[in-house]
Amino acid sequence: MAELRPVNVLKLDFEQENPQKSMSVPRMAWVAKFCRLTVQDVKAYRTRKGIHVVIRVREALHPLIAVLIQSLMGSDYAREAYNAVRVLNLMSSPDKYDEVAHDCWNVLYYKKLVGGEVASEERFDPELTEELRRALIEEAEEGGRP
Amino acid sequence: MEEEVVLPDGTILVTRRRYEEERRLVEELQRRLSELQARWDEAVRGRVVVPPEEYERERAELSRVEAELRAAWSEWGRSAARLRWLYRRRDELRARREELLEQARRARAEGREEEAAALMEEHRRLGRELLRVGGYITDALFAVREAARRAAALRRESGRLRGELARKVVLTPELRALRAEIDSLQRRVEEESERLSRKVIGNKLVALHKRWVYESRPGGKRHDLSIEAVASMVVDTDVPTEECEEALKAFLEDEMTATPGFERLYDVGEDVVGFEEKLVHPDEYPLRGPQLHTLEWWHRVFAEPQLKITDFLPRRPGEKGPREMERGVKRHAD
Repeated sequence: MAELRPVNVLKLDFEQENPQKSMSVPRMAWVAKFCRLTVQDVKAYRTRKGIHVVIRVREALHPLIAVLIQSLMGSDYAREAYNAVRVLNLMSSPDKYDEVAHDCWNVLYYKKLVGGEVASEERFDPELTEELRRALIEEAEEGGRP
Repeated sequence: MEEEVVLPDGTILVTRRRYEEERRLVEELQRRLSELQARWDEAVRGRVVVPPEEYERERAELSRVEAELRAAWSEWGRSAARLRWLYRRRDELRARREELLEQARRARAEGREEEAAALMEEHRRLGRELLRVGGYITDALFAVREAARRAAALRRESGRLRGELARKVVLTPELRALRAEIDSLQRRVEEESERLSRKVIGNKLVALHKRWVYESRPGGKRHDLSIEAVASMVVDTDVPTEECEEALKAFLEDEMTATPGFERLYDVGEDVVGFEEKLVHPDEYPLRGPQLHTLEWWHRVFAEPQLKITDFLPRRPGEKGPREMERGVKRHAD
């Protein structure tokens, strides 16, 4: 497992109650345009306190670039810090980690337990998905550079 | 978990349930297509489908030819009737001439010379008329033959057009709609079949991430350190995720308690457990039970020599990567 696998999925986590971690659709759209990403699909999920967004792009991204773009898009900085360290670990000693570690560094829990209790569980949000689809796919196809 | 994941190489990973649904959908579409095709074949029966304008144009042409044929038959009938009348007239004239000759011969024998001369004059007049009638008969015979020839040609043309028209069927709005539906369904079946051919029934990777946060004093300073354990199992997509969650929790608990020194983690920090699941390729991830993958102090990366920007640059074919180029060079000690 010497090489890191490129990724074509961005996973973002937002906490709407925390202004430093809240979601901004225009910000995500701007970053996607700036980074010349071709968004093919986007899905949004609601959690107890926040939002999970999964974006599938046409480009194959280096994992560290994916973390960078996720951070630029405003994903939870603590999560992205963990992701960055995971990727740096994989890069500095790739052979030390098996395939699951190489595949699961971009963690986005569908269910989270704190102290054994369910703290959060994600649910698909069709309205928000549609809003993101408009901003990241349809308007990007119509518009030019940011 | 997503029911469908498109991989960069175009392969589509799907759950077993989704694959079965798609397969049934394609079968249903193909069945519907066969039904529509049978309806179309029934309506068309090997005939050529033409637009209404073309059909009307050919039908009008057939009507015109048939009208001309009727006119030709009428002309033939009139010519034939005239010919028959002329033949009758010729026979009458011949009979009358013989009769006049006989009367004249008798009148001459009885001495009635004037009457005989008058009868012979009449005989000669009828002879001249007979000649005229003979000429008329020649003309009439020609006219009859001409009319028959023309009628026969028109009958052949009419038969040809009628045959052609019989092999055609007009494209009515219903037939047009049927054709459009068949074409659209055909395209859809092809697209769905193509997509189905790229689909692979994936396995489900369920991962449990457990994180502890605690403080240590390396070098006499306090640091927040994070430890993360990852356990995962690969199951069929039909297996309920809840069963995997329980199995992974129990498995990780056993692993942790069996690891020397980790019992102290229960005394410090926050206990956070997160579950993640994803569709994976069955060739890369065959079915297996719980397995422990990572047990790592994530902060250790900062003690390693940092990466250079060239690590992210694309390489030419055959060119050694930066890591390979640096191989053999002694790194800084930790």
